[in-house]
Amino acid sequence: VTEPIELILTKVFWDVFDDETIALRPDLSAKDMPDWDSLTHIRLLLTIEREFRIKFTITEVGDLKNVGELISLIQSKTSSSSPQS
Amino acid sequence: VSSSTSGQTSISFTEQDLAFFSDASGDRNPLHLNQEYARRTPYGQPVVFGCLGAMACLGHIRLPSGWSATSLEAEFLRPMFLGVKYRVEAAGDGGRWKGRLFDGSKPVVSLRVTAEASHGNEAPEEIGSASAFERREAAVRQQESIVPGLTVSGAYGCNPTALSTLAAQCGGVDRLLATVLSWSSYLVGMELPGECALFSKLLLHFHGTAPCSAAMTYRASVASVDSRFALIETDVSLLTGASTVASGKCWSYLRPPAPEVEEIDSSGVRLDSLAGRVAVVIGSSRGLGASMQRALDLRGAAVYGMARSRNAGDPAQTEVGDAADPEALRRVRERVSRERGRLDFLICNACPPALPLRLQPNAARRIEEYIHQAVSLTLTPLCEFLELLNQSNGCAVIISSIFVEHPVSEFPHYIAAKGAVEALVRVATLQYPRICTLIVRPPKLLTAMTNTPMGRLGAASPGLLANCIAARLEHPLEPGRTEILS
Repeated sequence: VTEPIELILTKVFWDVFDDETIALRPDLSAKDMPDWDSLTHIRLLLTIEREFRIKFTITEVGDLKNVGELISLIQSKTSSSSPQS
Repeated sequence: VSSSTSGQTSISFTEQDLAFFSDASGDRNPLHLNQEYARRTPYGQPVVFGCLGAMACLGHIRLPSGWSATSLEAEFLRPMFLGVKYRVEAAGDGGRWKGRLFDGSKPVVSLRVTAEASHGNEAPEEIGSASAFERREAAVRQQESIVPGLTVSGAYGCNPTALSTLAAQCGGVDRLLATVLSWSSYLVGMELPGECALFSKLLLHFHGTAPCSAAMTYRASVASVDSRFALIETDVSLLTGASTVASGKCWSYLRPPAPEVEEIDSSGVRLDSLAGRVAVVIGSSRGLGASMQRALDLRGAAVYGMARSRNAGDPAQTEVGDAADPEALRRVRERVSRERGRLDFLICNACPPALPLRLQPNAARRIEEYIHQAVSLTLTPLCEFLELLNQSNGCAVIISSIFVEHPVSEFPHYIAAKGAVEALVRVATLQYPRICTLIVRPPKLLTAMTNTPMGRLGAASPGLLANCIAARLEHPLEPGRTEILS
């Protein structure tokens, strides 16, 4: 059984920000989290790529506004790759 | 055997600490040691060696007597600066230790060490008397030349005296750990990637069979390059003779080259539209200031620049000096009065690089100092030139920021400084009613200040903005009024 994207993503956020109190919501963005700066953003994206086995383009990365858009992007990437069981 | 340590304290770094670490490690990367070089990076000031921060953090992790480290992981999460008080947190037991340095609530260095009882069979350490650094200057490598498979190797030996003193100053750091931190700093900062490196992460395993020695060799081979973020992953190893002391991986970013001053698009520009007009551009050596100089020059204005350093290709009318130095400004004013007898435009563009800061106790002094410095760079030129500008019915142009309208959370100092200079020019029009003022609130621009892997994304062109401002100045603004260009 594949874990829901939101659950995996939450664990990625906990790991990258070293904070297990983070609760993801669609409108959550870097503005809401003081530690979410540019270098952390890169670490976050690289960890997501590793975890979901996907690759973002630099344009996709630049366009991301919040967690909701991030989840949509991951969904589009994972659904276009080979299905998992 | 088990051990536990915990505690909280704070540390800070001085210029002498940087010099000492450089002596010990052989890392002479100019980002850490050269004020002028560092000033022209997005950090605006020398950055503390990440490995020195890690070493200071290690001073708070006590391995039990007779134990040897088996692995070291260090993450350099944010740049560190001189004079800032960093809080140390260290804890661990049962063979695993963790240490972190914080700037207020933000972690800047994170460290993990594993160790085990060595049963007295660890290799004896050989402490030499002389250092062995093959490079005295950091290698300069372009991103295109750094490809998977690129391999470098060489001899390495720390400066034993400096390293011992440094390890003791940091609170008694294990010699093996101090040695590999010094070596990895040298490897990344001097060799691969070299001068443009930003050390991101180090992961090493210790093999326990070979001692650190005065004559070690190293090998580093690029494993992968993520061109989106200019992130380089390197396989590294440190050897004594044929035996491996440590092996693992380094990750580092390659800082992008400084943005070139763009050519101004002259299509549709009337080349004599500002003929006979005289402008002074404060902060003209790079970024928007350099583009403003070109955009005004293109329209036929006589342009005088003022910058802290002169670039190749700068016009002869560039005065080298600090925009907050009244003497340097007086020289420019006297020259403009003597040669032109008038001043039509004063462009106040100088501003120190702004790094993210939180409104927290350990940031109060930095915020205050930033505001003071940033306001001075506009206030001092205004005070020097307003009278001349008034005599010529001129215009003061203030480069502010869109963040004044739409604040962002991490830049209270930058936004406060821009808000203050906007207030100053509004009052200037009351005191000097023949002048007009133009407040420009640009979005994020691609300049030396924003030139980081992520900072570059979505940054606007300074050349385009300069052309917009110059085009606005072709048409008269109303005396005694302030206009905002957003």
